Amino acid sequence: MSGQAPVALRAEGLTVVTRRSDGREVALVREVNLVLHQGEALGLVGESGSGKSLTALSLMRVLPESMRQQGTIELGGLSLSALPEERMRQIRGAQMSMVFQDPLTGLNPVRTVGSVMREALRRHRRMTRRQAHEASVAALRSVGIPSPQERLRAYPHQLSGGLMQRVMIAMALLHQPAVIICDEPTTALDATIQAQILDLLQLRVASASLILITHDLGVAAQACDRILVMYSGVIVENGRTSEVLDNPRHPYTAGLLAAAPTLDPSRPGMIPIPGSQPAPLSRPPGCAFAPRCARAQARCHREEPDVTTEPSGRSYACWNPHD
Amino acid sequence: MSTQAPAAARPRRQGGILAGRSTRLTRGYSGALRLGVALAVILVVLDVGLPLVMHLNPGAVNLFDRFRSLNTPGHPLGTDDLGRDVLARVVYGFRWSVGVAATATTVLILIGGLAGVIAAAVGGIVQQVVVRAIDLSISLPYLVIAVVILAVLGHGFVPLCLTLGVVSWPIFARVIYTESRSLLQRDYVLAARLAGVRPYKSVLTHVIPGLKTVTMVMTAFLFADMIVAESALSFLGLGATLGSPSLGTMLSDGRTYMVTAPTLTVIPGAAIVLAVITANLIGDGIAHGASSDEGQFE
Amino acid sequence: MTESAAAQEILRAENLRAVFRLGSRPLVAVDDVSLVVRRGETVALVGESGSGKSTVARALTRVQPLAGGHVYFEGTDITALSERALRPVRRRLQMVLQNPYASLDPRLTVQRIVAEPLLSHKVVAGPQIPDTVRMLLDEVGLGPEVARRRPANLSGGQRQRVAIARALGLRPSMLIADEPVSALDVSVQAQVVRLLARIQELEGLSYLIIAHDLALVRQIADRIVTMYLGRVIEEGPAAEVVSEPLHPYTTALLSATLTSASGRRERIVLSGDPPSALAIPAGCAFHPRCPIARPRCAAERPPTESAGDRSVACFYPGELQLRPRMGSPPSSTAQGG
Repeated sequence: MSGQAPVALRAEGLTVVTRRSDGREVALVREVNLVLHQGEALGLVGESGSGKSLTALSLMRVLPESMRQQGTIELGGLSLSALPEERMRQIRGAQMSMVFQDPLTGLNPVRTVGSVMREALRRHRRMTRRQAHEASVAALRSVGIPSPQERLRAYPHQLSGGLMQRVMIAMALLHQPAVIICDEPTTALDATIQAQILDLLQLRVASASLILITHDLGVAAQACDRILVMYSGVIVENGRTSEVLDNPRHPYTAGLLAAAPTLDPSRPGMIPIPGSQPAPLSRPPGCAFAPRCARAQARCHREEPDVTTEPSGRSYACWNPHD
Repeated sequence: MSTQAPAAARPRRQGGILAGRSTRLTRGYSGALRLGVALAVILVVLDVGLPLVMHLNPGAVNLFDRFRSLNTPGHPLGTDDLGRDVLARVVYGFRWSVGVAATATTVLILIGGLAGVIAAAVGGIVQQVVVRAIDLSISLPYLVIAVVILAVLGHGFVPLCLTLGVVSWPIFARVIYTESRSLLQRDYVLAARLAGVRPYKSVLTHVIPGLKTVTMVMTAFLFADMIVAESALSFLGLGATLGSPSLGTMLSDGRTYMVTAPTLTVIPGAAIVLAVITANLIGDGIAHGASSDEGQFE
Repeated sequence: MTESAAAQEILRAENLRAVFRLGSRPLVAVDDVSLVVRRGETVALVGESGSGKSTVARALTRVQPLAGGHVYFEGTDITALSERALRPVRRRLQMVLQNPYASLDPRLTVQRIVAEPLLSHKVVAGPQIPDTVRMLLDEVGLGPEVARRRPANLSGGQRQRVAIARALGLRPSMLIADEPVSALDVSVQAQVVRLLARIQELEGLSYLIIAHDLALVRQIADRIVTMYLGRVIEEGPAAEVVSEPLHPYTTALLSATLTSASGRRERIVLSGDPPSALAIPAGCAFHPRCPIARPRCAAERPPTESAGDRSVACFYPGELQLRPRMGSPPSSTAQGG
């Protein structure tokens, strides 16, 4: 399915570098390649410190001042990496938008939801206040929010987490973006609400392509067509969700699967991976996962693994993968 | 199962991956601290040292030597309407003002700090009473209250210090109260309670150390306030006795001659301003230096 | 209850009631909650936000005032004890908090943090502290060099281990853990859970774990107690509650619990947000969102019925079950019924 569809977003050699207080530079994201097909939901899975959030920020080119990025980004053929900031601003929120973990991120607490939505609308389209209001009502209705007029008059903190996240998704979809990036959109929400939000996101995928960043394999299993697994700044595995989760190639992916709790009594679950992810400055030579890997060989400690691509399109970066 | 983190764990700020580096802004503020401290040192050295190397008599009246201008031999800053040496009066006046301000600040820090912490930690009736007292005091104009108290107590160093301390402790108490309450809400204080740690011990271990920074900053700013307040009261004729010069009395005395002999007001005024700026620089410097550390703690 | 059965219980809560006052309106956070933890057992208290589970934990440790009910710990009624009288109790009943980034004083070293309870109860004399702390750190899998560090230099997993070491120092007989691993990465969760299991085996501890993840709870708990809007709605052995939930909310929660096998189970998506605890629905608190609600559910509050070691508060227990889905792609949903 996803192999034939046109490419909505492509990134090559994406690297994010930060300068530490002592002047040393350290790479937090290293040579990430990413292809998002139209209509696809792509999961970027990793634990904290893996670089997944930074990857998302760099796709939108909104990294903090202290960091810089390298590599190419193409949105439907248009090169974003070289665009001047003015043009980039026009694209953000319109052709490419983002939803954050905390729905209140960057929201002014003294502005009503309606006021924020109207501004988001008029930032990219000329419309009267009345038109903007009507469009806001329609947007809220489209994400399943009852009594939208009332909600527009409310302040962000007055609405529940789940409701606010719906509002943020509505706002992200206002201008029919080609790509919407969601960074842990459901982590702060209850399980039953999470289910609703993921459902909502899946319905949207038809009109927009989705990049979903999460640490939760269950979320990825539920909502994503393909997943990229990240560890210590690099992509270690890439493939269709069902393939990767049923038959992981990379030992880290297998480790994550084994460490997660299961509902099925026949699957053991909660088997720890020894050790912890290295801090960027103390990354070992060779494969970053080698010190914790039960399948590590001498080569793994010396050389960083090349990416192996299988005919089906799956790829992984490992010298001694599972089969 | 090895669980030790490989190599040294990086200091992780709550903000995530962003390292707390000195931006141009924070470096500017540590410059403020350095400047403030340098100024303070200079002022103290001058104030202590000048009387040692020069013969300064602030009270020597000489009616033949009135209104001398700057750079008169023997009177580098001239003389006032009674022929008294201006430099001597500024040096001793500065001493007086700083002395009052320092003592008053100490008094109010102690009273206010205790009141704030106790009100926050004990709660109940005590908290209600202290909070109401603070609100009441802050709503009243300090100058009026000070005037009334001084009218009763009379002139002098001790009455001035007491008055200023009594009038100003609520300002500090309120800050300490809010900070302490905030600290008491922290999870780690709850964890201590859950472990059976006694409340007073908890306050000593978890709350007091957290008040260090705010106390230092407020001390600096309140000191500046006290300088101005003392000068104001002395200007009004309260506080400083006729004998001991104060920057405020100098202002008051020189007011009549502002047009003809402006140095008599400008010089003590400049001294007040200098003292206040120095204190504010130090306060600002500590506040901003601390806030880049505090980020690490929050 | 026989004497030996009573001796088996380490914690008993009866008819707990906790009310918050918001202005004039009362918020009933905990409504007639009873539960029992037996020696050596792990009981999980499960619910979503607003269920009242954290309030129950706080009530059990007496940091939340109770509007009704009793708490018995090791046979003693601790409901009305003063803070002073509670001190010896606190030595034996410890709590680990949810947020490892907030439960450790950032200004203190790990050594001082772990030593604080020991010094307060005079369990260990000053000179012995460094050795004792080192030993405790070792028990939780941390090296001695950690003692000199401050929390800011520790990862989330390490901080939680420090919190556990601090709790264990007093050698409690029971540990209440409020979402002990929710703030941690998946692989670290597994590490901490394994640590807790090992300690339980070694020391014979009893646990009450507050959690929201049914998969996690199935793996670590002997019994599960499910709460919704302040009430206990289901209780039973963990494996059974998960394989055959009796209460429709438990079923819905189960369905919403995502694991890597999620694509293959049926999904029940509840409509609407959970109502606020300020406006708890009449009758069964869950009925507005319940896929199988009937008129009776809105009119009467279902009593708790017990059968064997399971109990449930529902008029139609066991009716809503998940059916396994065959070969459907991950992105489709199905309604329950």
